[in-house]
Order: sequence, then C-alpha cells, then structure tokens
Amino acid sequence: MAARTARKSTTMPDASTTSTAISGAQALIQALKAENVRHVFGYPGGAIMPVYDALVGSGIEHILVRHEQGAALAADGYARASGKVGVCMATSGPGATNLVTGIANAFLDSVPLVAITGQVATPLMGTDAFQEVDTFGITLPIVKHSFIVRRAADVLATIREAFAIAREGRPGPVLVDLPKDVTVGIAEQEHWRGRSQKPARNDRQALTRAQSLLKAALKPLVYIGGGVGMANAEPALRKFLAATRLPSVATLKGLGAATQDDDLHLGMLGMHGNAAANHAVQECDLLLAVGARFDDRATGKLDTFAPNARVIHFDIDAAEIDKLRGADIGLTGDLSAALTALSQPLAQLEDWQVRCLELKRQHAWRYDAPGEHIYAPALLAELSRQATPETIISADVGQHQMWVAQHCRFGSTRQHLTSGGLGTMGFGVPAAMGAVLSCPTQPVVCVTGDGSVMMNIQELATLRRYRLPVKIVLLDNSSLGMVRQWQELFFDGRYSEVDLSDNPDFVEVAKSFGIAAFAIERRDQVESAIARLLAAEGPTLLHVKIDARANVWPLVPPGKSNAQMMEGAMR
Amino acid sequence: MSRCLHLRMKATEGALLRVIGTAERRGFRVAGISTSGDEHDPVLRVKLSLAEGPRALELLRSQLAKLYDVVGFDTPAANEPIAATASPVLARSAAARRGTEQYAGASA
Repeated sequence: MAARTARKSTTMPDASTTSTAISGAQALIQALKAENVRHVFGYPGGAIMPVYDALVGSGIEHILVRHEQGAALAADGYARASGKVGVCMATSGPGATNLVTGIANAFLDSVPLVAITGQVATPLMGTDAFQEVDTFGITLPIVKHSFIVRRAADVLATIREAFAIAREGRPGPVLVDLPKDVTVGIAEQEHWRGRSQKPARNDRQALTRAQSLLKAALKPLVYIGGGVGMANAEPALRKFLAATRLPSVATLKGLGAATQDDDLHLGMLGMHGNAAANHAVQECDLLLAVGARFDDRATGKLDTFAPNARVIHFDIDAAEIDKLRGADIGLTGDLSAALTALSQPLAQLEDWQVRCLELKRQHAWRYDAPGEHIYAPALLAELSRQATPETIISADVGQHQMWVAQHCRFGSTRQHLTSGGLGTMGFGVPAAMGAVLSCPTQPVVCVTGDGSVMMNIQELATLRRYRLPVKIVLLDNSSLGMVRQWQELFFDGRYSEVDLSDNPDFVEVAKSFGIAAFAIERRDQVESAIARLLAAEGPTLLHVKIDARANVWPLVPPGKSNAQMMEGAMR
Repeated sequence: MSRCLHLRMKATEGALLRVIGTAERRGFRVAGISTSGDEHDPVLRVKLSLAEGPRALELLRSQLAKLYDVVGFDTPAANEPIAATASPVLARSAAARRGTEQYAGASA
C-alpha cells in the first residue's frame, strides 16, 4: 500500500482549506466515485458517521437497508447480476458483525465485494471501547484480503487496492476497516491512476496436449462451473460447445452458461442434479472442468466421481487445480482464449452424443404430479415460461432453491442468483434488491420459502422505500422443507424443530410493509397468478401454498456416489 | 519429522495471522514459526514448520501463494529436512502419477 504523505491530523478540514486537503471520509467518497460506484448498501452508526456525512450530496446513491446483513447480501446480488463490484457499509461493532454472513457468502461464491466498516478511533482500539470489535480479525478467514487504514493519507490508495483485489483473478470480498479518526483526518486529493491487470496467458503446450486428449476421447463431457460467467467466457464457451458438439453438465452456479437450445446440455449435476447429468458424468472418459471446483455437492463421494475420466481442469485459481481431483492437464490462463483455441469439430462422438440424448430423454422432468396441491416444480417451469428472456431470478435457500435450479431456465449465469457455497437462508430478497438496482432494465423475480423469507423479511421495507419492482414468489410449505426432507429420509422420520405451521399471514405482512400481495392455493390458479405477478408495476408478493410433504428429487444421499441417486414419488 | 515452508512476506498488518490461519484452516498443524526482519524492513522472512500430516505440502503452498502479503517462497537450506511427499487430499492424484502441467499466469 503506497503511503502518499506523512502528514497526520485528527481534525476535520474546514471549508476554507485548499482543494488538495480533504478528510479521510471525503477521500473515501472520491475513491468510490473514481471506481464508478453508483450504489452503496448500508446502515449508519457512531463510528462511521463522518463517512455518512461525506455521502451527503456526493452523487453516490446510498440504499438504507433495515439490517446490515441485508446490505452485504444486496451488494452481493448487485455484483452477481452485473459483474460490477458491490459495496456495502456499516458501523463498528454490531454493524460490522451483522455484515459477516454476507461477506462469507461472497467469499464462498467468489463474488467481488468491498465491505467498508467504521471502527473506533485508533487510540481506543484495543481498549474494549464502546462498539469495538476486531472486525479485521473476525473476517480474516472469509475475505480475499483486508485492510485497517491507519492514516487518512492512505485512504485513497487503500480503496483503489481493495477494488482491484476484489475484481481481479478469482473475485472475492475485501474488507476495509476505517477508524473514526482516520475518516476525520486530513488526506490529500490526488489524481487518479488506473491499475492495469496483467492478462492471464495460456500455455500453448498444455493446450496442444488438451487438444490431443480431446481428440482421443470417446466420451468427453464438459463440466461447467460458475467461473465461466465470472470470466465473461460464456460467449467463448457457447462457441466451443457448438463447434465441438460436446455434451455438457453444469454446477448450480454454472447454470445458464450453455445456451438453452443446446440439445446436448444435460442440466445440473450433483446432489439434486438431473439423473441424466449424473449418469453422463459417471460414464464419461474425459471431463473438461471449466471454472468448476469439484465441490462436494456436485461430486458426491469424491473417489467415485467420474471414475473412468481423465481430467482437463480450467481455473483462474491455480490453487483449485489438483485440490480435490487430480488433473491430467491444469490450465490457469485466459479461459476465453483457451476455449477458442480448442473450438474445433471432433470426430468419433456420434455414439456418445446419441447416448447422452437418450439419457436426457429418459430422465426428462415430469410435471404430472398426482394430487390437488400446487406442484412447485410445475409452477416454476411456468414462471420460467412466462418470464422474458432477460429476467433475473434470485433464489433463496432450501428446497425451492433446488427446484429453481432444476426447473427454471436462465439466459446467462448472471440471471441466476443463488447462494451456492454458504447456502445463506435470507439471501433471496436482498440479492434481488441489489440486482434490480444494478440491472434496472431487467425484470427481477425472487423465489423464496417461508423459512428463508423470514430471515430478512425487514428488507420488504427497503423494497417499499425505493419502490424496487422485485416480484416475490413465496413457496410456503409451513416447514423448513429441506431439513424436514432429510429427517424423513435419514433420521427415520423423527421431525425435530422443522414445523412452521404458525407462520404469519404473509399477504398481510407484505401489505403492512406497503407491498402488494396476493395468494393462491389451487393448480388452476397458477398460470394467471404468474401472469398477474409479472405484469404488476411495483414490488409484489405472490404467496403459494404447497404440499408440506413435497420433496426434492433426485437426491444423492450424503456420503454416497452420484450413481446412487434416490428417486422419490412426486407430490 | 516436521515439514517447512520458507516465505517472503510483506510486513503488513495481519500478515502472520493470515499465514497461520490459512495453514490451520487447511488442515495443517503449525509446529513452529520463526521470523526475521525488523520494523524498518518491508520484507519479512518466515519459516513455517508444520507437523506431519496426511495432506500434501503443495496444497498449502498453493493456498499461501494466493495471499497478497506473500511475496514468494525460498528454497530450504541444504541441511534442513525436505518434506516427504504425503498423500494428498485428492481423490486421485493424477498430478502425482502423471505430472500436472501448471504454469504462470494465475491470479495468485
């Protein structure tokens, strides 16, 4: 970190100071504007008050959330949907600790985020002062990098560095802790100098060997991860798939990377993946892992995953190569360039393509569930059918999250916002809030559950305040459905603390926040209700009563191979 | 027998915490740590001794290399024990069997 000046002060500059003298807080605002930050999600408090003072009239729109976790998750959704760095802000102590879940969420899913926290003044640090916690220490395991800024003169350079780190290579969250005396101290205005990122280069010899492996393979399969979207490599991937006619599967975060009309794309693999995708992985003889990290939810029992396959692993993070599954060839360079170099027609694949198409036909989703209740997968397929191709869907966490992944279709990975690594209940609404601000021309739908929505229900007030037109589909099974499903299947049906049958009336709750809301409970209401929801002007909630006994299928039991999927009855 | 990594680091706030934390979170037990440098030296030299364990040292080295405070690694002195090749966490270590072709250009 470059120190610009040794001058230190703990006094606020007055209005007559020269144009080169600004406060640390003003330097922060200047740095944010230089990074083209238009929105900041946050909540004020004592230690960060000088920053909130500097925000007034700055041109940066601050979105006042109702809980700091909402700020971090909104900034996360903002970043996922747009590719820009999301920014959240909170005061010291409880403000900072409330950000922690959101920061961890961004870390586990490699989302570029800058979290700015107030801190007690440096003379008070380490004295157990009011609202003092070691934010830097608490967040060490869940950030890509972090800073405590000790001098106002270092604010500009630190913020510049924080943004560069958050977005470069494998993205991630960066924390900047700002003691109060630093934000009121004197900084120096400086001319902005952009930081250039070294382009990652590919190893030609490794690419040549990859090409040889591809040509020799009889059953090659592409395993698409979230890294494809983050590398802006979707166009190259689609051209690669079209040129090679390779079958493909995707992780939860890789959904949307392949085109929707690619007949050889088999959908999601893993614990709740499509059976066709899991069978294809088990049968393939060459796996091209593209921006994927062999996560346990995708692989099932690791040593049984793709047992016959050699592996070509593309990842911007060299530490992912060989971390869990050994790679025959590891490629950490420019993904688009590498895929382009490999985009050539392949012979000998006809039998394998026919096999994959047959698997896809055999295991196509069915929506003819018996019974009277609304069948959530069918509702979500209908939602996807009626939504425009640009629609962004933010999923909360639980059974509905998996149903979204299985039954909705996405034009790109940035149109599917889901908490993959951390699995943060309460993610859906604030993430949708962020997406609607970063992508204002795209419709945004949040699919949530009765458990998840209550985790950040207070953010309905934020939707109302800023009139953010998020459309919420609340699938209500009056229980913590995924936990209930596991208790049913793996704990002999002993249900422990999963009953939510005393939920509030969600329509009335939404209305009390000033959000339009309506409810359905019959199958014949689904089509018109979805149409009404999508056509609504402002934020609107659709409450859907579903069968409390409905389970997500297929399911790979914990510790089992993906080949040991359980299939259950539709309800 | 313990295994060692020799790091060159920026002497920045939290740098040592990051190194120790990364080692322990990744399943390595820190058996000892020694540093050289003083408050005026921008580069800190760290010798990290790790207890024998089931995970390959390369796994930790690649994670440490991602830390922004880590400038590089030094080769251990000739009289120091070299880490034996341990079983990796990998399901199958193709790298160990066939050699992995990694190269510069990563984000680390």
